[in-house]
Amino acid sequence: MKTPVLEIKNFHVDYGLGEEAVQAVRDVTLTLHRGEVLGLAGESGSGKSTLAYGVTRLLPPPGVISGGSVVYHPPSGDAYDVMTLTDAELRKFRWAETSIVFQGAMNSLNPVHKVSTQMLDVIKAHEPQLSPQARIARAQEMLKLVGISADRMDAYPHQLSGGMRQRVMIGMALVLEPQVVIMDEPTTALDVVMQRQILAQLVELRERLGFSVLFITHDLSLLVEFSDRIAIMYGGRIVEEARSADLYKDSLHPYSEGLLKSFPALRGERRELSGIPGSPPDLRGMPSGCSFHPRCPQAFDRCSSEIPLLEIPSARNDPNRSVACWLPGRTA
Amino acid sequence: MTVTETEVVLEAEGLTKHFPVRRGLRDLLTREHKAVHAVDDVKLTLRRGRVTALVGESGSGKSTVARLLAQLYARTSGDIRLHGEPVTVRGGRKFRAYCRQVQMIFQDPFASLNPTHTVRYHLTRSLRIHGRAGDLEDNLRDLLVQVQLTPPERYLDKFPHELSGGQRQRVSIARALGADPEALLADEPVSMLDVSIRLGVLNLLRDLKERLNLAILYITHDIASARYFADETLVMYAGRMVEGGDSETVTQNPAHPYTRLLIESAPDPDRLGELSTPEDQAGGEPPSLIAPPTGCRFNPRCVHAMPKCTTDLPPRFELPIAGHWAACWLYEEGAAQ
Repeated sequence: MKTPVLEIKNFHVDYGLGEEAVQAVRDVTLTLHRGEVLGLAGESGSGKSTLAYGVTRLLPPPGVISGGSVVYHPPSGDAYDVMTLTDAELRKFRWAETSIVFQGAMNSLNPVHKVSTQMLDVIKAHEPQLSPQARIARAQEMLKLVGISADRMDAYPHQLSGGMRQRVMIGMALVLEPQVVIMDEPTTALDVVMQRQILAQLVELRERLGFSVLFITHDLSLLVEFSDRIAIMYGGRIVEEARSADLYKDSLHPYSEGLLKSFPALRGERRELSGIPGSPPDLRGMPSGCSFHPRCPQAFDRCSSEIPLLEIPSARNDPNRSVACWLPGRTA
Repeated sequence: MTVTETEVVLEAEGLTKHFPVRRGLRDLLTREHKAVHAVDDVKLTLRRGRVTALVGESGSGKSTVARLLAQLYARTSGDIRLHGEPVTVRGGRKFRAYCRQVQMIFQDPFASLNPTHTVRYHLTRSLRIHGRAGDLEDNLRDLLVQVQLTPPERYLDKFPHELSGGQRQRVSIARALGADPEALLADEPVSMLDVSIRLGVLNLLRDLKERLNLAILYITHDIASARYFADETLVMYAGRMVEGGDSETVTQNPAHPYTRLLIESAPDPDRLGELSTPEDQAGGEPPSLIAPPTGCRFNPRCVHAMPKCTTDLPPRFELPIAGHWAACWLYEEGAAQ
């Protein structure tokens, strides 16, 4: 039986206040289970990073969480809502329970401090009772896990390559053994060879440490291979959620289908591909109804007037998948 | 499939670029002049109506090749020939004459368009500079229609911030076409764009290639898109070309161990579940280009490395399929496969 570790319910994020607020995340409900990799795919502006920042309450102003809850289930003890934590509680919650790896590792490490200083700082802040030797041992062990030799501990970020810096970031995220790791495009700046190595290492670490990953990327082909379940975001909403294999073989939302057809294949027959016509919606003037309808090849009248809900599609009768689309068989 | 012979527009031979490294105080006492060996001995040919892809990871020198071909950098050595004529330009009138025929499209359409000017200004400048301002309004309209920004009136007076990424990249393609060039150098033209609109831009470039009979150099790190878009694919590693040939051949029967590594590492949705890593002895690290490895530059990472690989530089060896070659000692005549 899968147990949830992070439950996002009816989550809303706005940028700005009042009439002019831009609604970046709309009514997102998503559950991350223990030990799974949940992929969150979408184009730029679809709200995927905003969702990650919102969930961890890292959203800088003018971002405002305008509704919803994020329930965290610790391994022992009662579940609580992250949105109601006080500042002090939140400080304890971050790193120790949930950590986040940002897109540009180059920018997330402080260039004037050694890797060791930055790593020990994290441990010191959360486990002040540990002796300095124990902290160093812990940091070294973690770096070894992510494939960096202990003698690089005293290197400055500029002395490491991009891949190594990203490994350090992943190591830092895991050093307190959190339950949830949110990764916001952790490999986009890296080359494919390095990307694959880091992901393989992540899978291995997950098996050993048992954390769950919320993996955010625009590269759907990567997610299909790497994650257990995938949620696709478009215009601030989740439009489809399914197990990776189901989504790849049998996507139900026209946007997921278009996205999957936007990647040229490296193997198999060489097909003519078209991508998706039009351009991603402007959050300041979202289309009425389903936000994908102006680009959708199968849109009909209802799509432009009513917003489809994320429901279990009647045509598949599978509780593990849901889709927000008015096409026949897609609604409950 | 063989590479069909059409007219050669631009070719480079022995193209080399070394960037000098600033000498510190201590270096003043030595004779040694350090340099970053960004591009070494590159040979490529752009033909009319054909797309040549240059694939490589970041730092492999692929963008440097484009800038050398565009004469934006002065080369250290080697030849660039336009229609068979060797050319060297250092700005001024000769540079304009050159870039009338060879135009470049940059990676980032957010940075390559001036935010304070309209689409009309960008395109007018391109037409004026290249002496095509005769029927200005008609030409402007034609350019926008060519890049499928229709109706043109709607886009002419927009500022870059009013356009989406894909539209901006189309404007920069239109600006390049304003010179009526024969060769386009596209440096990662779609990597900054949203996934769903990348193919639209690639299909547009392909369409332009066919209609205007352009020679296109397509620089990318995504070998799958090279297979989709390009006729011929060249693979670069650490400043050197390691493999080349027809795109289908290179991607389906990669010969060089680096190309194989690259293809095995590319995300492949058909390979569900098991996340395997291909063999790579250096953990994904490309070598330093200040002191590149002797012999084959891939030898520290190569699982097939032989003693010879560390000492001798492999030349191009022809492979059984016509037009396919690899710079690897594994393919030396009589070498054990």
